[in-house]
Amino acid sequence: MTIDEWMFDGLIVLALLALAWRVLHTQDLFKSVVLFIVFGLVMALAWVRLKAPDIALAEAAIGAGLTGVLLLDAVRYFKRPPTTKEEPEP
Amino acid sequence: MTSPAESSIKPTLVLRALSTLAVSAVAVFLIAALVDIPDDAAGLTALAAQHLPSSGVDHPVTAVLLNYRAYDTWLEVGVLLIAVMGMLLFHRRSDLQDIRSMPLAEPVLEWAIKLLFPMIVLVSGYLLWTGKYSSGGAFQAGVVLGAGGVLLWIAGHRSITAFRGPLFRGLLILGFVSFFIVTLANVALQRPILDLPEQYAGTIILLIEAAATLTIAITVAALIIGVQPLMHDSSPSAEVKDE
Repeated sequence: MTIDEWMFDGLIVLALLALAWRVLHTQDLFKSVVLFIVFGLVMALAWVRLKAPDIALAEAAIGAGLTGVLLLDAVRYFKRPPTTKEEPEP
Repeated sequence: MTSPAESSIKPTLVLRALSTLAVSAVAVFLIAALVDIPDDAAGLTALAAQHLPSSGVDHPVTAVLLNYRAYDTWLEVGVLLIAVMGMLLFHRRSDLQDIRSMPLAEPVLEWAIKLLFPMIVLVSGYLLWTGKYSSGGAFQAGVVLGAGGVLLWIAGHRSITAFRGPLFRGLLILGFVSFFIVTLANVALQRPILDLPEQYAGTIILLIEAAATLTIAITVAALIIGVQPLMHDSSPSAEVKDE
C-alpha cells in the first residue's frame, strides 16, 4: 500500500473512532443521531476500502438512511412534551 | 434538570472502570483475531466461483445471497416482516390509510419531487437488475424505492397511505411468500427446499428479487410513515401518554 492509501485509511479509522466517541458522549440526542448518520456514511467508505461494494451500498442505504431516519423519529417522539395537547410538527 | 431528550444517567466510577475494562478486553480479542488471519486465506471464494455458472447469476455475492444461502435471505425478509408487524401492532393499525397527510409542499420541494421521483424509480429498477452482474440486488433497490415513497409523502402526496388494506398487507408479505412458493414447489417435487434448478435459476432469482424489492420498499416506507398521527385523532399527543 502506498503512503497515500495508508493516510486515507488512517483518516477513516480516526474518523470512525472519533465519531463513535462523540455519538456516545453527546448530551443532545438529536446531535447523537446526526453523528450516527455520519458514522454510517464513513463506515460505507470503509467498506469500499475493504473491497466490499455490496456491503457499502447496504450500509449507506440501511445503516445511515433507514436507521438514521427511524432514530430521528424516535428522538422527536421523546421530545414531545407529554402533558400539552399542542399539534406536533409534521 | 434534564429534558427527556438528554441523557441523564451518570455512572459511578466503579461502573466506568469495569465497563472500560470489559470493552478493552473485547477490543484486544478482536484485534488479536484479526491479526491471526493468514494473508492468503480465501475462505470459500474458490468454491463459490466454481459453481457460479450454474447459479444463474454472474456476481458471486448475489449468488451467495440468493442461491447458496437463500435461506438466510428468506429469514432476513421475515425479520423485516416481523418489524413492520410490530410497528402496526404497537399503533393498532392494519393499514396506513388514516394517516394525516403532510401539508402541501413548498414550490421548490414540489419541483424537486417531480424531478427526483422518476429518477428514484429508475435507479431502484437499475439496482435490482444489475444485481445479476455486479453489486446491487433487492435490498439496495428496495431501500431506494422506499426512500422515494417517504419523499413523496413529505412533499404532501398520499404515497403509500393511498394503498387500501388488502393491497398494503399483500405487498408486505409478498417477499416472504415468494421464497415460500419456491420452497413449496421444491417440497412437491421432493428436492432440497431452496435448491434452484440450473436452467431457471436466473429467472427465479430475478422474480424473487423483484418481489423482495417491492416488499422492502413498502416496509421501509411503512416504518417511517406508519408512526405518524392519524387523521381523525383530535388529540395527537394521545399516543405519547403512557397507556
